[in-house]
Amino acid sequence: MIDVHREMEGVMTLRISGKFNFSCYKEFQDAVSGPVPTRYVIDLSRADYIDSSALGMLLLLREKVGEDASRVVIRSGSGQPSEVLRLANFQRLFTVN
Amino acid sequence: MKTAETLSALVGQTLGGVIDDLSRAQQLVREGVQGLTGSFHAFRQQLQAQNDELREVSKLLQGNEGGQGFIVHMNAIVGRFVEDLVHVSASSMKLVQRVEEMGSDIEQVVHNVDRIESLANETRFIALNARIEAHRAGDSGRTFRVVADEVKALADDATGFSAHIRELVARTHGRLDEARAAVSQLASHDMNGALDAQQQVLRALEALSATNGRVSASLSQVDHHIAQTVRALQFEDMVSQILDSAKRRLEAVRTLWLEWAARSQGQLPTGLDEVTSALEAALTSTSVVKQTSMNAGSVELF
Repeated sequence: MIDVHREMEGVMTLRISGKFNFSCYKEFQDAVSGPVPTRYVIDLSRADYIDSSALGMLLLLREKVGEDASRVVIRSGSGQPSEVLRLANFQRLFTVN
Repeated sequence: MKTAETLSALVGQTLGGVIDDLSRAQQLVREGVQGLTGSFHAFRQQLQAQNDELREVSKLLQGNEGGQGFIVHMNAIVGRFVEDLVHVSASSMKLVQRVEEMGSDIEQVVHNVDRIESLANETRFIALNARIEAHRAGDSGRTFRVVADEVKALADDATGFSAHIRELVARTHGRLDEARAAVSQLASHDMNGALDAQQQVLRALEALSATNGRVSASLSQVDHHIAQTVRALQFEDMVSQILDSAKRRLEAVRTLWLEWAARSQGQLPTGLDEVTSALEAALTSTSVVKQTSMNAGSVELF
Protein backbone atom coordinates (compact mmCIF):
# COMPACT_ATOMS: atom_id res chain seq x y z
CA MET A 1 0.00 0.00 0.00
CA ILE A 2 1.26 3.50 -0.82
CA ASP A 3 0.48 6.65 1.17
CA VAL A 4 1.27 9.89 -0.61
CA HIS A 5 2.08 13.04 1.36
CA ARG A 6 3.16 16.50 0.35
CA GLU A 7 4.83 17.43 3.61
CA MET A 8 6.34 20.68 2.42
CA GLU A 9 6.77 22.73 -0.70
CA GLY A 10 8.37 20.70 -3.48
CA VAL A 11 8.70 17.45 -1.51
CA MET A 12 6.50 14.45 -2.23
CA THR A 13 6.70 11.53 0.15
CA LEU A 14 5.56 8.05 -0.86
CA ARG A 15 5.33 5.76 2.14
CA ILE A 16 5.17 2.14 1.05
CA SER A 17 3.96 -0.51 3.50
CA GLY A 18 4.21 -4.31 3.20
CA LYS A 19 5.41 -5.69 -0.12
CA PHE A 20 6.81 -3.35 -2.75
CA ASN A 21 6.52 -5.33 -5.99
CA PHE A 22 4.67 -5.30 -9.30
CA SER A 23 1.30 -5.21 -7.52
CA CYS A 24 2.17 -1.62 -6.49
CA TYR A 25 2.84 -0.51 -10.08
CA LYS A 26 -0.52 1.20 -10.71
CA GLU A 27 -0.55 3.02 -7.36
CA PHE A 28 3.08 4.08 -7.74
CA GLN A 29 2.54 5.28 -11.29
CA ASP A 30 -0.58 7.25 -10.32
CA ALA A 31 1.30 8.84 -7.40
CA VAL A 32 4.22 10.06 -9.52
CA SER A 33 2.31 10.90 -12.70
CA GLY A 34 1.47 14.51 -11.73
CA PRO A 35 3.77 17.54 -11.81
CA VAL A 36 7.36 16.63 -10.86
CA PRO A 37 8.31 17.96 -7.40
CA THR A 38 11.82 19.15 -6.46
CA ARG A 39 12.35 15.99 -4.49
CA TYR A 40 10.73 12.60 -4.05
CA VAL A 41 11.08 10.82 -0.72
CA ILE A 42 10.47 7.08 -0.96
CA ASP A 43 9.90 5.84 2.58
CA LEU A 44 10.50 2.09 2.78
CA SER A 45 10.76 1.95 6.58
CA ARG A 46 7.40 0.14 6.71
CA ALA A 47 8.08 -2.11 3.73
CA ASP A 48 9.16 -5.66 4.54
CA TYR A 49 9.94 -6.95 1.06
CA ILE A 50 11.01 -5.52 -2.29
CA ASP A 51 11.76 -7.30 -5.56
CA SER A 52 13.48 -6.32 -8.80
CA SER A 53 10.37 -4.67 -10.25
CA ALA A 54 10.44 -2.21 -7.32
CA LEU A 55 14.08 -1.44 -8.15
CA GLY A 56 13.01 -0.92 -11.78
CA MET A 57 10.27 1.54 -10.73
CA LEU A 58 12.79 3.48 -8.62
CA LEU A 59 15.22 3.66 -11.58
CA LEU A 60 12.42 5.00 -13.84
CA LEU A 61 11.64 7.64 -11.21
CA ARG A 62 15.34 8.59 -11.22
CA GLU A 63 15.17 9.03 -15.01
CA LYS A 64 12.14 11.26 -14.53
CA VAL A 65 14.14 13.69 -12.34
CA GLY A 66 17.07 13.82 -14.77
CA GLU A 67 19.17 11.15 -12.98
CA ASP A 68 19.90 13.57 -10.16
CA ALA A 69 20.72 11.47 -7.06
CA SER A 70 19.75 14.30 -4.70
CA ARG A 71 16.21 14.48 -6.05
CA VAL A 72 15.17 10.97 -5.01
CA VAL A 73 15.72 10.17 -1.33
CA ILE A 74 15.14 6.59 -0.19
CA ARG A 75 14.57 5.87 3.49
CA SER A 76 15.66 2.24 3.43
CA GLY A 77 14.72 1.27 6.97
CA SER A 78 16.05 -2.14 7.91
CA GLY A 79 15.72 -5.78 6.92
CA GLN A 80 15.32 -7.19 3.43
CA PRO A 81 14.58 -3.87 1.61
CA SER A 82 17.74 -2.17 2.89
CA GLU A 83 19.84 -5.27 2.10
CA VAL A 84 18.48 -5.46 -1.45
CA LEU A 85 19.18 -1.73 -2.00
CA ARG A 86 22.77 -2.25 -0.79
CA LEU A 87 23.14 -5.36 -2.99
CA ALA A 88 22.00 -3.33 -6.04
CA ASN A 89 24.43 -0.49 -5.14
CA PHE A 90 21.55 1.99 -5.03
CA GLN A 91 23.51 4.26 -2.67
CA ARG A 92 25.49 5.26 -5.80
CA LEU A 93 22.35 6.28 -7.72
CA PHE A 94 20.09 7.69 -5.00
CA THR A 95 20.34 9.41 -1.65
CA VAL A 96 19.82 6.40 0.63
CA ASN A 97 19.49 6.88 4.36
CA MET B 1 99.50 -61.03 49.39
CA LYS B 2 99.09 -58.56 46.60
CA THR B 3 102.13 -56.97 45.15
CA ALA B 4 102.63 -53.28 44.74
CA GLU B 5 102.52 -53.84 40.95
CA THR B 6 99.07 -55.39 41.14
CA LEU B 7 97.73 -52.44 43.16
CA SER B 8 99.35 -49.97 40.82
CA ALA B 9 97.85 -51.70 37.77
CA LEU B 10 94.42 -51.90 39.37
CA VAL B 11 94.25 -48.18 40.19
CA GLY B 12 95.56 -47.24 36.74
CA GLN B 13 92.97 -49.54 35.11
CA THR B 14 90.14 -48.11 37.23
CA LEU B 15 90.98 -44.51 36.40
CA GLY B 16 91.30 -45.41 32.69
CA GLY B 17 87.90 -47.13 32.78
CA VAL B 18 86.28 -44.08 34.38
CA ILE B 19 87.78 -41.80 31.74
CA ASP B 20 86.45 -44.14 28.99
CA ASP B 21 82.98 -44.15 30.60
CA LEU B 22 82.98 -40.36 30.68
CA SER B 23 83.94 -40.24 26.98
CA ARG B 24 81.13 -42.66 26.12
CA ALA B 25 78.59 -40.64 28.11
CA GLN B 26 79.80 -37.51 26.36
CA GLN B 27 79.31 -39.13 22.95
CA LEU B 28 75.84 -40.46 23.80
CA VAL B 29 74.65 -37.05 24.98
CA ARG B 30 76.09 -35.37 21.87
CA GLU B 31 74.44 -37.79 19.46
CA GLY B 32 71.12 -37.63 21.31
CA VAL B 33 71.04 -33.87 21.29
CA GLN B 34 72.06 -33.69 17.64
CA GLY B 35 69.22 -36.08 16.79
CA LEU B 36 66.68 -34.05 18.79
CA THR B 37 67.81 -30.75 17.26
CA GLY B 38 67.56 -32.26 13.77
CA SER B 39 64.06 -33.59 14.48
CA PHE B 40 62.85 -30.22 15.73
CA HIS B 41 64.22 -28.46 12.66
CA ALA B 42 62.53 -31.02 10.39
CA PHE B 43 59.29 -30.56 12.35
CA ARG B 44 59.55 -26.81 11.86
CA GLN B 45 60.15 -27.25 8.12
CA GLN B 46 57.13 -29.55 7.77
CA LEU B 47 54.93 -26.99 9.51
CA GLN B 48 56.27 -24.20 7.31
CA ALA B 49 55.55 -26.34 4.21
CA GLN B 50 51.98 -26.92 5.43
CA ASN B 51 51.55 -23.22 6.02
CA ASP B 52 52.87 -22.44 2.53
CA GLU B 53 50.36 -24.90 1.03
CA LEU B 54 47.54 -23.26 2.97
CA ARG B 55 48.67 -19.85 1.77
CA GLU B 56 48.61 -21.08 -1.84
CA VAL B 57 45.03 -22.33 -1.44
CA SER B 58 44.07 -19.13 0.32
CA LYS B 59 45.61 -17.05 -2.47
CA LEU B 60 43.55 -19.01 -5.01
CA LEU B 61 40.37 -18.37 -3.02
CA GLN B 62 41.00 -14.90 -1.69
CA GLY B 63 43.39 -13.40 -4.21
CA ASN B 64 46.16 -10.95 -3.40
CA GLU B 65 47.65 -7.69 -4.70
CA GLY B 66 48.49 -9.50 -7.96
CA GLY B 67 44.98 -10.56 -8.90
CA GLN B 68 41.50 -11.60 -7.92
CA GLY B 69 40.92 -14.88 -6.17
CA PHE B 70 38.02 -17.24 -6.66
CA ILE B 71 35.89 -15.77 -3.86
CA VAL B 72 36.43 -12.17 -4.98
CA HIS B 73 35.59 -13.28 -8.51
CA MET B 74 32.39 -14.93 -7.25
CA ASN B 75 31.46 -11.73 -5.49
CA ALA B 76 31.94 -9.79 -8.72
CA ILE B 77 29.77 -12.32 -10.59
CA VAL B 78 26.96 -11.93 -8.06
CA GLY B 79 27.31 -8.15 -8.41
CA ARG B 80 27.11 -8.30 -12.21
CA PHE B 81 24.13 -10.68 -12.04
CA VAL B 82 22.27 -8.24 -9.77
CA GLU B 83 23.17 -5.31 -12.01
CA ASP B 84 21.82 -7.14 -15.09
CA LEU B 85 18.68 -8.16 -13.22
CA VAL B 86 18.00 -4.57 -12.18
CA HIS B 87 18.59 -3.31 -15.74
CA VAL B 88 16.19 -5.92 -17.16
CA SER B 89 13.60 -4.91 -14.56
CA ALA B 90 13.94 -1.21 -15.33
CA SER B 91 13.60 -1.86 -19.09
CA SER B 92 10.63 -4.14 -18.46
CA MET B 93 8.93 -1.51 -16.31
CA LYS B 94 9.45 0.96 -19.15
CA LEU B 95 7.80 -1.54 -21.52
CA VAL B 96 4.90 -1.92 -19.09
CA GLN B 97 4.55 1.86 -19.16
CA ARG B 98 4.45 1.84 -22.98
CA VAL B 99 1.87 -0.96 -22.98
CA GLU B 100 -0.30 1.10 -20.60
CA GLU B 101 0.05 4.11 -22.92
CA MET B 102 -0.96 1.98 -25.90
CA GLY B 103 -3.98 0.85 -23.85
CA SER B 104 -5.10 4.44 -23.31
CA ASP B 105 -4.51 5.25 -27.02
CA ILE B 106 -6.78 2.32 -27.85
CA GLU B 107 -9.41 3.82 -25.51
CA GLN B 108 -9.23 6.96 -27.65
CA VAL B 109 -9.86 4.83 -30.75
CA VAL B 110 -12.92 3.28 -29.06
CA HIS B 111 -14.19 6.77 -28.19
CA ASN B 112 -13.83 7.89 -31.82
CA VAL B 113 -15.57 4.75 -33.07
CA ASP B 114 -18.46 5.60 -30.72
CA ARG B 115 -18.71 9.02 -32.36
CA ILE B 116 -18.56 7.55 -35.89
CA GLU B 117 -21.37 5.18 -34.94
CA SER B 118 -23.60 7.94 -33.60
CA LEU B 119 -22.90 10.00 -36.75
CA ALA B 120 -23.91 6.98 -38.87
CA ASN B 121 -27.10 6.59 -36.82
CA GLU B 122 -27.96 10.25 -37.29
CA THR B 123 -27.22 10.00 -41.01
CA ARG B 124 -29.46 6.92 -41.23
CA PHE B 125 -32.23 8.84 -39.47
CA ILE B 126 -31.86 11.78 -41.87
CA ALA B 127 -31.90 9.40 -44.85
CA LEU B 128 -35.12 7.84 -43.52
CA ASN B 129 -36.73 11.29 -43.20
CA ALA B 130 -35.58 12.20 -46.71
CA ARG B 131 -37.08 8.97 -48.06
CA ILE B 132 -40.46 9.79 -46.39
CA GLU B 133 -40.38 13.32 -47.87
CA ALA B 134 -39.50 11.91 -51.33
CA HIS B 135 -42.45 9.50 -51.12
CA ARG B 136 -44.78 12.39 -50.34
CA ALA B 137 -43.49 14.37 -53.35
CA GLY B 138 -44.56 11.48 -55.65
CA ASP B 139 -42.93 11.15 -59.09
CA SER B 140 -40.97 14.41 -58.73
CA GLY B 141 -39.30 13.00 -55.60
CA ARG B 142 -38.16 9.71 -57.23
CA THR B 143 -34.56 10.87 -57.84
CA PHE B 144 -34.35 12.26 -54.35
CA ARG B 145 -35.45 8.83 -52.96
CA VAL B 146 -32.53 7.16 -54.78
CA VAL B 147 -30.13 9.65 -53.18
CA ALA B 148 -31.66 9.02 -49.71
CA ASP B 149 -31.21 5.25 -50.19
CA GLU B 150 -27.54 5.79 -51.19
CA VAL B 151 -26.96 7.88 -48.06
CA LYS B 152 -28.54 5.14 -45.89
CA ALA B 153 -26.30 2.52 -47.55
CA LEU B 154 -23.22 4.68 -46.76
CA ALA B 155 -24.34 5.04 -43.12
CA ASP B 156 -24.80 1.23 -42.90
CA ASP B 157 -21.27 0.74 -44.32
CA ALA B 158 -19.88 3.14 -41.70
CA THR B 159 -21.64 1.11 -38.97
CA GLY B 160 -20.16 -2.08 -40.41
CA PHE B 161 -16.63 -0.60 -40.43
CA SER B 162 -16.92 0.62 -36.89
CA ALA B 163 -18.09 -2.80 -35.76
CA HIS B 164 -15.02 -4.25 -37.45
CA ILE B 165 -12.80 -1.66 -35.71
CA ARG B 166 -14.40 -2.61 -32.37
CA GLU B 167 -13.53 -6.24 -33.01
CA LEU B 168 -9.91 -5.32 -33.80
CA VAL B 169 -9.72 -3.10 -30.73
CA ALA B 170 -11.05 -5.90 -28.51
CA ARG B 171 -8.45 -8.29 -29.95
CA THR B 172 -5.68 -5.73 -29.44
CA HIS B 173 -6.85 -5.22 -25.85
CA GLY B 174 -6.46 -8.93 -25.21
CA ARG B 175 -2.98 -8.94 -26.76
CA LEU B 176 -1.90 -5.91 -24.74
CA ASP B 177 -3.07 -7.65 -21.56
CA GLU B 178 -0.98 -10.69 -22.50
CA ALA B 179 2.05 -8.49 -23.24
CA ARG B 180 1.60 -6.68 -19.95
CA ALA B 181 1.46 -9.97 -18.01
CA ALA B 182 4.58 -11.31 -19.79
CA VAL B 183 6.59 -8.13 -19.26
CA SER B 184 5.53 -7.87 -15.62
CA GLN B 185 6.89 -11.39 -15.13
CA LEU B 186 10.13 -10.31 -16.79
CA ALA B 187 10.35 -7.35 -14.40
CA SER B 188 9.55 -9.25 -11.21
CA HIS B 189 12.39 -11.29 -9.74
CA ASP B 190 12.95 -12.25 -6.16
CA MET B 191 16.25 -10.78 -4.91
CA ASN B 192 16.64 -13.06 -1.88
CA GLY B 193 18.59 -15.71 -3.81
CA ALA B 194 21.19 -13.13 -4.86
CA LEU B 195 21.26 -11.74 -1.30
CA ASP B 196 21.95 -15.24 0.07
CA ALA B 197 24.66 -15.84 -2.54
CA GLN B 198 26.43 -12.59 -1.66
CA GLN B 199 26.21 -13.24 2.07
CA GLN B 200 27.65 -16.73 1.61
CA VAL B 201 30.54 -15.31 -0.40
CA LEU B 202 31.24 -12.69 2.26
CA ARG B 203 31.00 -15.29 5.03
CA ALA B 204 33.49 -17.51 3.18
CA LEU B 205 35.91 -14.57 2.87
CA GLU B 206 35.64 -13.77 6.57
CA ALA B 207 36.09 -17.42 7.58
CA LEU B 208 39.14 -17.69 5.34
CA SER B 209 40.77 -14.55 6.79
CA ALA B 210 40.07 -15.79 10.32
CA THR B 211 41.59 -19.20 9.55
CA ASN B 212 44.66 -17.58 7.99
CA GLY B 213 45.12 -15.44 11.08
CA ARG B 214 44.76 -18.40 13.43
CA VAL B 215 47.18 -20.56 11.43
CA SER B 216 49.78 -17.76 11.33
CA ALA B 217 49.46 -17.18 15.07
CA SER B 218 49.74 -20.89 15.76
CA LEU B 219 52.82 -21.19 13.54
CA SER B 220 54.61 -18.34 15.28
CA GLN B 221 53.79 -19.98 18.63
CA VAL B 222 55.29 -23.27 17.42
CA ASP B 223 58.33 -21.33 16.14
CA HIS B 224 58.77 -19.74 19.51
CA HIS B 225 58.55 -23.08 21.34
CA ILE B 226 60.98 -24.78 18.96
CA ALA B 227 63.47 -21.93 19.35
CA GLN B 228 63.20 -22.31 23.14
CA THR B 229 63.65 -26.07 22.92
CA VAL B 230 66.70 -25.77 20.62
CA ARG B 231 68.17 -23.23 23.03
CA ALA B 232 67.54 -25.60 25.92
CA LEU B 233 69.31 -28.38 24.03
CA GLN B 234 72.54 -26.35 24.17
CA PHE B 235 73.02 -27.89 27.64
CA GLU B 236 74.94 -30.61 25.76
CA ASP B 237 77.83 -28.18 25.17
CA MET B 238 78.08 -27.37 28.87
CA VAL B 239 77.78 -31.03 29.91
CA SER B 240 80.53 -31.88 27.42
CA GLN B 241 82.82 -29.18 28.84
CA ILE B 242 82.20 -30.47 32.39
CA LEU B 243 82.98 -34.03 31.30
CA ASP B 244 86.16 -32.84 29.50
CA SER B 245 87.26 -31.10 32.65
CA ALA B 246 86.54 -34.22 34.77
CA LYS B 247 88.48 -36.36 32.26
CA ARG B 248 91.49 -34.02 32.34
CA ARG B 249 91.57 -34.06 36.13
CA LEU B 250 91.29 -37.85 36.27
CA GLU B 251 94.06 -38.12 33.66
CA ALA B 252 96.28 -35.95 35.86
CA VAL B 253 95.53 -38.10 38.91
CA ARG B 254 96.34 -41.29 36.92
CA THR B 255 99.61 -39.85 35.65
CA LEU B 256 100.53 -38.80 39.19
CA TRP B 257 99.62 -42.26 40.56
CA LEU B 258 101.63 -44.18 37.95
CA GLU B 259 104.61 -41.88 38.54
CA TRP B 260 104.36 -42.35 42.30
CA ALA B 261 103.99 -46.15 42.00
CA ALA B 262 107.06 -46.35 39.71
CA ARG B 263 109.19 -44.30 42.06
CA SER B 264 108.15 -46.07 45.27
CA GLN B 265 109.71 -49.38 43.91
CA GLY B 266 107.30 -51.74 45.60
CA GLN B 267 107.77 -50.14 48.98
CA LEU B 268 104.09 -49.76 49.61
CA PRO B 269 102.74 -49.70 53.07
CA THR B 270 101.59 -53.16 54.15
CA GLY B 271 98.03 -54.10 55.09
CA LEU B 272 96.42 -52.79 51.89
CA ASP B 273 95.19 -56.26 50.86
CA GLU B 274 91.62 -55.57 51.89
CA VAL B 275 91.45 -52.30 49.97
CA THR B 276 92.96 -54.02 46.89
CA SER B 277 90.41 -56.84 47.03
CA ALA B 278 87.54 -54.34 47.36
CA LEU B 279 88.81 -52.44 44.33
CA GLU B 280 89.10 -55.72 42.31
CA ALA B 281 85.56 -56.70 43.30
CA ALA B 282 84.25 -53.26 42.32
CA LEU B 283 85.96 -53.49 38.93
CA THR B 284 84.49 -56.90 38.09
CA SER B 285 80.95 -56.26 39.41
CA THR B 286 80.37 -52.74 38.09
CA SER B 287 77.77 -53.03 35.38
CA VAL B 288 77.65 -50.07 33.03
CA VAL B 289 75.81 -49.38 29.84
CA LYS B 290 77.86 -51.00 27.11
CA GLN B 291 76.06 -49.14 24.35
CA THR B 292 78.38 -46.62 22.77
CA SER B 293 76.08 -45.06 20.22
CA MET B 294 72.52 -43.80 20.20
CA ASN B 295 71.95 -45.67 16.95
CA ALA B 296 73.30 -48.97 18.25
CA GLY B 297 70.06 -50.23 19.84
CA SER B 298 66.40 -50.09 19.03
CA VAL B 299 64.27 -48.12 21.46
CA GLU B 300 60.96 -49.50 22.69
CA LEU B 301 58.83 -46.47 23.35
CA PHE B 302 55.57 -48.19 24.28
